[in-house]
Amino acid sequence: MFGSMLPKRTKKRKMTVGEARAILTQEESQKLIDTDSMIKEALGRVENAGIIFIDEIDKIAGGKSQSAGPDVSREGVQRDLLPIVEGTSVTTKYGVVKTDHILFIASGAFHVSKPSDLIPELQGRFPIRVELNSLTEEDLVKILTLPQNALIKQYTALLQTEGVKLEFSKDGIREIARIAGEVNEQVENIGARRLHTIMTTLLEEYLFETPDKYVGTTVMVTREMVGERLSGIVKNKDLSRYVL
Amino acid sequence: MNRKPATTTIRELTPREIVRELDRYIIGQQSAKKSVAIAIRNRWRRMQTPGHLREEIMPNNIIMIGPTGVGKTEIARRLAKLTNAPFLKVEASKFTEVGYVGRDVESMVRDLTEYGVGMLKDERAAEVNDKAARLAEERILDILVPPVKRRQPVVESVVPDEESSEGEDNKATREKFREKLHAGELESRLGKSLGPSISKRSG
Repeated sequence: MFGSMLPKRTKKRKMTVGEARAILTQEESQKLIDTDSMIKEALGRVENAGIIFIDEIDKIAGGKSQSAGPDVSREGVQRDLLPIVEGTSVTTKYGVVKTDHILFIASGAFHVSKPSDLIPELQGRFPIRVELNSLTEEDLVKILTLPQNALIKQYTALLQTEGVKLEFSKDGIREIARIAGEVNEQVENIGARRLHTIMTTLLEEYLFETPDKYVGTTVMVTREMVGERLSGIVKNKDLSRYVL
Repeated sequence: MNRKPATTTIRELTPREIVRELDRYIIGQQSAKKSVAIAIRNRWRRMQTPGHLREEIMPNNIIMIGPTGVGKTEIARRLAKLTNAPFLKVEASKFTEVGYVGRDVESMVRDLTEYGVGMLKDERAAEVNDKAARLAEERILDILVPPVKRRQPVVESVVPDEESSEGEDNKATREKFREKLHAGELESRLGKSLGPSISKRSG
Protein backbone atom coordinates (compact mmCIF):
# COMPACT_ATOMS: atom_id res chain seq x y z
CA MET A 1 0.00 0.00 0.00
CA PHE A 2 2.80 2.37 0.87
CA GLY A 3 4.89 1.26 -2.02
CA SER A 4 3.02 3.54 -4.35
CA MET A 5 3.51 6.54 -2.08
CA LEU A 6 7.26 6.36 -1.96
CA PRO A 7 9.24 7.88 -4.79
CA LYS A 8 10.01 5.35 -7.45
CA ARG A 9 13.54 4.16 -7.64
CA THR A 10 14.73 4.46 -11.17
CA LYS A 11 17.88 3.66 -12.97
CA LYS A 12 19.22 4.81 -16.27
CA ARG A 13 19.43 2.36 -19.06
CA LYS A 14 20.45 2.58 -22.65
CA MET A 15 18.12 1.02 -25.14
CA THR A 16 16.80 1.35 -28.63
CA VAL A 17 13.76 3.39 -29.43
CA GLY A 18 11.78 0.24 -30.11
CA GLU A 19 12.54 -1.19 -26.69
CA ALA A 20 11.92 2.13 -25.03
CA ARG A 21 8.55 2.33 -26.68
CA ALA A 22 7.50 -1.00 -25.21
CA ILE A 23 8.63 -0.08 -21.72
CA LEU A 24 7.23 3.41 -21.78
CA THR A 25 3.91 2.22 -23.14
CA GLN A 26 3.67 -0.17 -20.27
CA GLU A 27 4.55 2.53 -17.80
CA GLU A 28 2.02 4.89 -19.23
CA SER A 29 -0.73 2.32 -19.29
CA GLN A 30 -0.01 1.51 -15.68
CA LYS A 31 -0.55 5.15 -14.86
CA LEU A 32 -3.80 5.19 -16.79
CA ILE A 33 -5.29 2.14 -15.08
CA ASP A 34 -7.21 2.72 -11.91
CA THR A 35 -5.83 -0.14 -9.87
CA ASP A 36 -8.40 -0.03 -7.09
CA SER A 37 -11.41 -0.30 -9.33
CA MET A 38 -9.63 -2.91 -11.41
CA ILE A 39 -9.00 -5.12 -8.40
CA LYS A 40 -12.56 -4.62 -7.23
CA GLU A 41 -13.87 -5.77 -10.56
CA ALA A 42 -11.42 -8.65 -10.61
CA LEU A 43 -12.59 -9.87 -7.22
CA GLY A 44 -16.18 -9.57 -8.37
CA ARG A 45 -15.44 -11.60 -11.43
CA VAL A 46 -13.61 -14.26 -9.47
CA GLU A 47 -16.48 -14.54 -7.00
CA ASN A 48 -19.25 -14.67 -9.56
CA ALA A 49 -17.67 -16.20 -12.60
CA GLY A 50 -14.60 -18.06 -11.36
CA ILE A 51 -14.23 -21.72 -12.19
CA ILE A 52 -12.03 -24.10 -10.24
CA PHE A 53 -11.38 -27.42 -11.88
CA ILE A 54 -10.29 -30.07 -9.43
CA ASP A 55 -8.72 -32.93 -11.27
CA GLU A 56 -8.12 -36.39 -9.85
CA ILE A 57 -10.72 -35.99 -7.17
CA ASP A 58 -10.89 -39.78 -7.04
CA LYS A 59 -7.38 -39.82 -5.62
CA ILE A 60 -8.58 -38.26 -2.40
CA ALA A 61 -11.68 -40.42 -2.22
CA GLY A 62 -12.20 -43.68 -0.44
CA GLY A 63 -9.77 -45.86 1.36
CA LYS A 64 -11.48 -45.72 4.76
CA SER A 65 -8.41 -45.06 6.88
CA GLN A 66 -6.74 -48.40 6.81
CA SER A 67 -3.79 -47.05 8.63
CA ALA A 68 -3.92 -45.53 12.04
CA GLY A 69 -3.10 -41.91 12.55
CA PRO A 70 -4.29 -38.79 10.79
CA ASP A 71 -5.25 -39.19 7.16
CA VAL A 72 -3.36 -36.20 5.95
CA SER A 73 -3.97 -36.33 2.28
CA ARG A 74 -7.33 -37.97 1.73
CA GLU A 75 -10.24 -37.49 4.02
CA GLY A 76 -8.50 -34.57 5.64
CA VAL A 77 -8.29 -32.79 2.32
CA GLN A 78 -11.92 -33.53 1.63
CA ARG A 79 -12.84 -31.96 4.93
CA ASP A 80 -10.76 -28.92 4.09
CA LEU A 81 -12.36 -28.74 0.70
CA LEU A 82 -15.83 -28.76 2.13
CA PRO A 83 -16.02 -25.19 3.44
CA ILE A 84 -14.50 -23.81 0.28
CA VAL A 85 -17.01 -25.53 -1.95
CA GLU A 86 -19.78 -24.71 0.48
CA GLY A 87 -18.85 -21.07 0.61
CA THR A 88 -16.40 -19.33 2.84
CA SER A 89 -14.24 -16.26 2.77
CA VAL A 90 -10.63 -16.63 1.85
CA THR A 91 -8.19 -13.83 2.47
CA THR A 92 -6.02 -13.11 -0.51
CA LYS A 93 -3.53 -10.36 -0.95
CA TYR A 94 -6.09 -8.42 -2.98
CA GLY A 95 -8.82 -8.71 -0.41
CA VAL A 96 -11.34 -11.19 0.87
CA VAL A 97 -12.86 -13.53 -1.69
CA LYS A 98 -16.15 -15.24 -1.02
CA THR A 99 -16.27 -18.66 -2.56
CA ASP A 100 -20.04 -19.16 -2.43
CA HIS A 101 -20.58 -18.70 -6.13
CA ILE A 102 -17.37 -20.02 -7.59
CA LEU A 103 -18.17 -22.94 -9.86
CA PHE A 104 -16.34 -26.11 -8.94
CA ILE A 105 -15.90 -28.84 -11.47
CA ALA A 106 -14.34 -31.98 -10.12
CA SER A 107 -13.16 -34.78 -12.29
CA GLY A 108 -11.73 -38.18 -11.86
CA ALA A 109 -11.44 -41.56 -13.45
CA PHE A 110 -12.86 -43.35 -10.45
CA HIS A 111 -11.23 -46.58 -11.47
CA VAL A 112 -10.57 -47.76 -7.95
CA SER A 113 -12.81 -45.63 -5.82
CA LYS A 114 -16.36 -44.55 -6.51
CA PRO A 115 -17.93 -41.13 -6.21
CA SER A 116 -19.83 -42.52 -3.25
CA ASP A 117 -16.51 -42.99 -1.49
CA LEU A 118 -16.22 -39.25 -1.10
CA ILE A 119 -17.46 -38.02 2.23
CA PRO A 120 -21.23 -37.48 1.98
CA GLU A 121 -21.09 -33.76 2.70
CA LEU A 122 -18.81 -33.24 -0.24
CA GLN A 123 -20.91 -35.40 -2.52
CA GLY A 124 -23.86 -33.24 -1.64
CA ARG A 125 -21.95 -30.22 -2.81
CA PHE A 126 -21.50 -31.67 -6.27
CA PRO A 127 -25.09 -32.27 -7.25
CA ILE A 128 -24.46 -32.90 -10.91
CA ARG A 129 -22.73 -36.01 -12.14
CA VAL A 130 -21.86 -36.60 -15.72
CA GLU A 131 -20.16 -39.56 -17.21
CA LEU A 132 -17.82 -39.31 -20.12
CA ASN A 133 -17.56 -42.25 -22.41
CA SER A 134 -14.47 -44.05 -23.55
CA LEU A 135 -13.52 -43.13 -27.05
CA THR A 136 -14.59 -45.35 -29.89
CA GLU A 137 -12.65 -45.77 -33.11
CA GLU A 138 -15.14 -43.44 -34.73
CA ASP A 139 -14.42 -40.79 -32.08
CA LEU A 140 -10.70 -41.15 -32.62
CA VAL A 141 -11.09 -40.59 -36.35
CA LYS A 142 -13.01 -37.42 -35.65
CA ILE A 143 -10.49 -36.27 -33.07
CA LEU A 144 -7.73 -36.69 -35.62
CA THR A 145 -9.46 -34.58 -38.21
CA LEU A 146 -12.24 -32.32 -36.99
CA PRO A 147 -11.23 -30.06 -34.10
CA GLN A 148 -9.60 -26.76 -34.93
CA ASN A 149 -6.46 -27.99 -33.27
CA ALA A 150 -6.67 -31.49 -34.72
CA LEU A 151 -3.44 -33.45 -34.67
CA ILE A 152 -3.39 -33.97 -38.42
CA LYS A 153 -3.71 -30.25 -38.97
CA GLN A 154 -0.91 -29.66 -36.51
CA TYR A 155 1.56 -32.05 -38.11
CA THR A 156 0.68 -30.94 -41.61
CA ALA A 157 1.37 -27.36 -40.63
CA LEU A 158 4.60 -28.28 -38.86
CA LEU A 159 6.07 -30.10 -41.83
CA GLN A 160 4.79 -27.57 -44.28
CA THR A 161 7.11 -24.99 -42.75
CA GLU A 162 9.98 -26.98 -44.24
CA GLY A 163 8.37 -27.68 -47.55
CA VAL A 164 7.15 -31.20 -46.91
CA LYS A 165 3.58 -31.85 -47.88
CA LEU A 166 1.77 -34.29 -45.67
CA GLU A 167 -1.34 -35.96 -47.01
CA PHE A 168 -3.57 -38.38 -45.23
CA SER A 169 -5.80 -40.80 -47.05
CA LYS A 170 -9.10 -41.73 -45.47
CA ASP A 171 -8.13 -45.31 -44.80
CA GLY A 172 -4.82 -44.11 -43.44
CA ILE A 173 -6.55 -42.01 -40.83
CA ARG A 174 -8.89 -44.86 -39.98
CA GLU A 175 -5.94 -47.17 -39.54
CA ILE A 176 -4.28 -44.75 -37.14
CA ALA A 177 -7.50 -44.57 -35.13
CA ARG A 178 -7.88 -48.33 -35.17
CA ILE A 179 -4.37 -48.90 -33.89
CA ALA A 180 -4.81 -46.23 -31.22
CA GLY A 181 -8.00 -47.93 -30.08
CA GLU A 182 -6.32 -51.30 -30.06
CA VAL A 183 -3.37 -50.14 -28.02
CA ASN A 184 -5.68 -48.34 -25.62
CA GLU A 185 -7.53 -51.56 -25.10
CA GLN A 186 -4.51 -53.78 -24.68
CA VAL A 187 -2.08 -51.65 -22.79
CA GLU A 188 -3.66 -48.78 -20.97
CA ASN A 189 -6.50 -46.52 -21.88
CA ILE A 190 -5.13 -43.02 -22.12
CA GLY A 191 -7.81 -41.84 -24.50
CA ALA A 192 -7.06 -39.27 -27.13
CA ARG A 193 -3.52 -38.80 -25.90
CA ARG A 194 -2.71 -42.13 -27.47
CA LEU A 195 -3.08 -40.52 -30.85
CA HIS A 196 -0.28 -38.20 -30.01
CA THR A 197 2.20 -40.96 -29.32
CA ILE A 198 1.07 -42.86 -32.38
CA MET A 199 1.44 -39.87 -34.64
CA THR A 200 4.95 -39.08 -33.46
CA THR A 201 6.04 -42.67 -33.88
CA LEU A 202 4.44 -42.83 -37.28
CA LEU A 203 6.02 -39.65 -38.54
CA GLU A 204 9.32 -39.94 -36.72
CA GLU A 205 11.25 -40.65 -39.89
CA TYR A 206 9.98 -37.52 -41.62
CA LEU A 207 10.21 -35.33 -38.57
CA PHE A 208 13.81 -36.37 -38.07
CA GLU A 209 15.11 -36.47 -41.63
CA THR A 210 13.59 -33.19 -42.74
CA PRO A 211 15.17 -30.94 -43.93
CA ASP A 212 18.03 -33.28 -44.94
CA LYS A 213 15.67 -35.33 -47.04
CA TYR A 214 12.09 -35.00 -48.20
CA VAL A 215 12.07 -31.25 -48.82
CA GLY A 216 9.70 -30.52 -51.66
CA THR A 217 8.14 -33.96 -51.57
CA THR A 218 4.68 -35.12 -50.70
CA VAL A 219 4.31 -37.77 -48.06
CA MET A 220 1.20 -39.87 -48.41
CA VAL A 221 -0.03 -41.49 -45.25
CA THR A 222 -2.01 -44.48 -46.41
CA ARG A 223 -3.25 -47.57 -44.75
CA GLU A 224 -0.28 -49.53 -46.03
CA MET A 225 2.18 -46.97 -44.81
CA VAL A 226 0.64 -46.88 -41.35
CA GLY A 227 0.51 -50.65 -41.14
CA GLU A 228 4.09 -50.96 -42.25
CA ARG A 229 5.42 -48.57 -39.68
CA LEU A 230 3.33 -49.53 -36.72
CA SER A 231 2.22 -53.13 -37.02
CA GLY A 232 5.47 -54.45 -35.61
CA ILE A 233 5.19 -52.34 -32.53
CA VAL A 234 1.50 -52.97 -32.02
CA LYS A 235 1.82 -56.74 -32.30
CA ASN A 236 4.57 -56.83 -29.78
CA LYS A 237 2.65 -56.00 -26.64
CA ASP A 238 5.70 -55.55 -24.51
CA LEU A 239 7.26 -53.20 -26.98
CA SER A 240 4.13 -51.14 -27.34
CA ARG A 241 4.06 -50.77 -23.60
CA TYR A 242 7.17 -48.68 -24.00
CA VAL A 243 6.92 -47.13 -27.41
CA LEU A 244 3.29 -46.23 -28.00
CA MET B 1 -11.69 -14.17 -28.37
CA ASN B 2 -12.02 -11.25 -30.72
CA ARG B 3 -15.43 -10.36 -29.39
CA LYS B 4 -15.35 -7.50 -26.98
CA PRO B 5 -15.72 -8.78 -23.44
CA ALA B 6 -19.22 -8.16 -22.21
CA THR B 7 -19.80 -5.67 -19.48
CA THR B 8 -21.33 -8.38 -17.36
CA THR B 9 -18.80 -10.82 -16.11
CA ILE B 10 -19.97 -13.72 -18.20
CA ARG B 11 -20.51 -13.62 -21.90
CA GLU B 12 -24.09 -14.22 -22.70
CA LEU B 13 -23.95 -17.48 -24.55
CA THR B 14 -27.00 -19.70 -24.56
CA PRO B 15 -26.50 -23.30 -23.51
CA ARG B 16 -26.84 -24.37 -27.11
CA GLU B 17 -24.20 -21.91 -28.21
CA ILE B 18 -21.86 -23.12 -25.52
CA VAL B 19 -22.25 -26.71 -26.66
CA ARG B 20 -21.70 -25.66 -30.25
CA GLU B 21 -18.51 -23.85 -29.32
CA LEU B 22 -17.28 -26.82 -27.33
CA ASP B 23 -18.03 -29.07 -30.29
CA ARG B 24 -15.35 -27.28 -32.23
CA TYR B 25 -12.68 -28.65 -29.93
CA ILE B 26 -14.07 -31.71 -28.25
CA ILE B 27 -15.54 -34.71 -29.97
CA GLY B 28 -18.60 -36.39 -28.50
CA GLN B 29 -19.35 -36.28 -24.76
CA GLN B 30 -22.62 -34.51 -25.38
CA SER B 31 -24.09 -35.11 -21.94
CA ALA B 32 -21.07 -33.61 -20.23
CA LYS B 33 -21.14 -30.62 -22.53
CA LYS B 34 -24.81 -30.10 -21.83
CA SER B 35 -24.31 -30.16 -18.09
CA VAL B 36 -21.54 -27.63 -18.11
CA ALA B 37 -23.43 -25.43 -20.52
CA ILE B 38 -26.40 -25.40 -18.15
CA ALA B 39 -24.15 -24.66 -15.20
CA ILE B 40 -22.61 -21.71 -17.00
CA ARG B 41 -25.93 -20.35 -18.17
CA ASN B 42 -27.30 -20.66 -14.66
CA ARG B 43 -24.61 -18.38 -13.40
CA TRP B 44 -25.59 -15.78 -15.90
CA ARG B 45 -29.25 -16.28 -15.00
CA ARG B 46 -28.35 -15.87 -11.38
CA MET B 47 -26.78 -12.49 -12.08
CA GLN B 48 -30.09 -11.37 -13.62
CA THR B 49 -32.17 -12.26 -10.57
CA PRO B 50 -33.07 -9.69 -7.92
CA GLY B 51 -30.57 -9.19 -5.11
CA HIS B 52 -31.97 -11.22 -2.24
CA LEU B 53 -32.42 -14.31 -4.37
CA ARG B 54 -29.08 -13.95 -6.02
CA GLU B 55 -27.29 -14.75 -2.80
CA GLU B 56 -29.33 -17.88 -2.30
CA ILE B 57 -28.77 -19.50 -5.66
CA MET B 58 -25.93 -21.93 -5.44
CA PRO B 59 -23.77 -22.96 -8.36
CA ASN B 60 -24.30 -26.32 -10.03
CA ASN B 61 -21.03 -27.90 -9.09
CA ILE B 62 -20.25 -30.84 -11.29
CA ILE B 63 -18.41 -34.10 -10.97
CA MET B 64 -17.19 -35.50 -14.26
CA ILE B 65 -16.51 -39.18 -14.24
CA GLY B 66 -14.59 -40.84 -17.00
CA PRO B 67 -11.29 -42.38 -17.99
CA THR B 68 -8.33 -40.18 -18.70
CA GLY B 69 -7.93 -38.61 -22.09
CA VAL B 70 -11.58 -38.40 -23.05
CA GLY B 71 -11.83 -34.65 -22.70
CA LYS B 72 -12.67 -33.83 -19.10
CA THR B 73 -10.00 -31.22 -18.65
CA GLU B 74 -10.38 -29.95 -22.16
CA ILE B 75 -14.07 -29.26 -21.64
CA ALA B 76 -13.38 -27.23 -18.53
CA ARG B 77 -10.52 -25.35 -20.12
CA ARG B 78 -12.44 -24.42 -23.24
CA LEU B 79 -15.38 -23.46 -21.14
CA ALA B 80 -13.36 -20.92 -19.23
CA LYS B 81 -11.97 -19.40 -22.40
CA LEU B 82 -15.41 -19.24 -23.89
CA THR B 83 -16.97 -17.43 -21.01
CA ASN B 84 -14.02 -15.23 -20.25
CA ALA B 85 -14.08 -16.54 -16.71
CA PRO B 86 -11.10 -16.85 -14.41
CA PHE B 87 -10.16 -20.50 -14.51
CA LEU B 88 -7.86 -22.59 -12.40
CA LYS B 89 -7.02 -26.25 -12.70
CA VAL B 90 -5.68 -28.06 -9.67
CA GLU B 91 -4.84 -31.65 -8.91
CA ALA B 92 -6.61 -32.88 -5.84
CA SER B 93 -3.71 -35.14 -5.00
CA LYS B 94 -1.39 -32.16 -4.55
CA PHE B 95 -3.16 -30.97 -1.45
CA THR B 96 -2.67 -31.93 2.14
CA GLU B 97 -4.63 -31.11 5.22
CA VAL B 98 -4.06 -27.63 6.59
CA GLY B 99 -1.10 -27.64 8.90
CA TYR B 100 0.84 -30.33 7.12
CA VAL B 101 3.57 -29.94 4.59
CA GLY B 102 2.07 -29.39 1.18
CA ARG B 103 -0.41 -27.03 -0.37
CA ASP B 104 -3.50 -26.25 1.60
CA VAL B 105 -6.77 -26.05 -0.25
CA GLU B 106 -7.27 -22.34 0.30
CA SER B 107 -4.37 -21.70 -1.99
CA MET B 108 -6.58 -22.59 -4.94
CA VAL B 109 -8.76 -19.60 -4.23
CA ARG B 110 -5.71 -17.41 -3.88
CA ASP B 111 -4.33 -18.66 -7.16
CA LEU B 112 -7.65 -18.11 -8.87
CA THR B 113 -7.77 -14.56 -7.58
CA GLU B 114 -4.25 -13.95 -8.78
CA TYR B 115 -5.29 -15.15 -12.20
CA GLY B 116 -8.44 -13.05 -12.19
CA VAL B 117 -6.52 -9.92 -11.34
CA GLY B 118 -4.03 -10.66 -14.08
CA MET B 119 -6.87 -11.08 -16.52
CA LEU B 120 -8.44 -7.76 -15.62
CA LYS B 121 -5.08 -6.06 -15.76
CA ASP B 122 -4.54 -7.30 -19.30
CA GLU B 123 -8.01 -6.23 -20.33
CA ARG B 124 -7.60 -2.76 -18.88
CA ALA B 125 -4.19 -2.44 -20.46
CA ALA B 126 -5.69 -3.33 -23.82
CA GLU B 127 -8.35 -0.66 -23.35
CA VAL B 128 -5.85 2.10 -22.66
CA ASN B 129 -3.27 0.80 -25.05
CA ASP B 130 -3.79 3.45 -27.73
CA LYS B 131 -3.63 6.28 -25.28
CA ALA B 132 -0.61 4.80 -23.54
CA ALA B 133 1.16 4.37 -26.86
CA ARG B 134 0.57 8.03 -27.68
CA LEU B 135 1.88 9.14 -24.31
CA ALA B 136 4.88 6.88 -24.68
CA GLU B 137 5.58 8.46 -28.04
CA GLU B 138 5.53 11.88 -26.46
CA ARG B 139 8.02 10.73 -23.89
CA ILE B 140 10.30 9.28 -26.51
CA LEU B 141 10.12 12.56 -28.37
CA ASP B 142 10.86 14.38 -25.14
CA ILE B 143 14.05 12.42 -24.96
CA LEU B 144 14.99 12.69 -28.61
CA VAL B 145 14.07 16.34 -28.95
CA PRO B 146 13.87 17.77 -25.45
CA PRO B 147 11.17 20.42 -25.20
CA VAL B 148 12.58 23.90 -25.08
CA LYS B 149 10.62 24.96 -22.04
CA ARG B 150 12.66 22.69 -19.88
CA ARG B 151 15.72 24.71 -20.60
CA GLN B 152 14.08 27.79 -19.21
CA PRO B 153 15.65 27.72 -15.76
CA VAL B 154 19.08 27.13 -17.23
CA VAL B 155 18.97 29.85 -19.86
CA GLU B 156 17.59 32.63 -17.75
CA SER B 157 18.83 35.51 -19.80
CA VAL B 158 16.92 34.53 -22.88
CA VAL B 159 14.28 37.04 -23.88
CA PRO B 160 10.80 35.46 -23.86
CA ASP B 161 10.25 36.45 -27.49
CA GLU B 162 13.21 34.52 -28.72
CA GLU B 163 12.30 31.55 -26.66
CA SER B 164 8.91 31.17 -28.23
CA SER B 165 10.36 31.25 -31.67
CA GLU B 166 12.87 28.67 -30.61
CA GLY B 167 9.93 26.63 -29.40
CA GLU B 168 8.43 26.77 -32.86
CA ASP B 169 11.61 25.46 -34.38
CA ASN B 170 11.65 22.74 -31.88
CA LYS B 171 8.10 21.78 -32.70
CA ALA B 172 9.04 21.36 -36.32
CA THR B 173 11.90 19.08 -35.39
CA ARG B 174 9.63 17.19 -33.11
CA GLU B 175 7.12 16.62 -35.87
CA LYS B 176 9.87 15.49 -38.16
CA PHE B 177 11.02 12.97 -35.61
CA ARG B 178 7.44 11.92 -35.01
CA GLU B 179 7.10 11.12 -38.69
CA LYS B 180 10.30 9.15 -38.56
CA LEU B 181 9.03 7.32 -35.53
CA HIS B 182 5.83 6.41 -37.29
CA ALA B 183 7.75 5.23 -40.29
CA GLY B 184 9.68 2.97 -37.94
CA GLU B 185 12.99 4.42 -39.06
CA LEU B 186 14.27 4.89 -35.56
CA GLU B 187 13.24 1.55 -34.11
CA SER B 188 16.74 0.17 -33.74
CA ARG B 189 18.59 3.39 -33.05
CA LEU B 190 20.32 3.34 -29.75
CA GLY B 191 19.25 5.88 -27.18
CA LYS B 192 22.78 7.15 -26.69
CA SER B 193 23.23 8.57 -30.13
CA LEU B 194 19.91 10.32 -29.81
CA GLY B 195 20.07 11.91 -26.44
CA PRO B 196 20.06 11.13 -22.74
CA SER B 197 19.33 7.56 -21.86
CA ILE B 198 15.94 6.52 -20.71
CA SER B 199 15.18 5.93 -17.10
CA LYS B 200 13.61 2.67 -16.23
CA ARG B 201 11.93 1.80 -13.03
CA SER B 202 13.93 -0.81 -11.22
CA GLY B 203 12.12 -3.85 -9.95
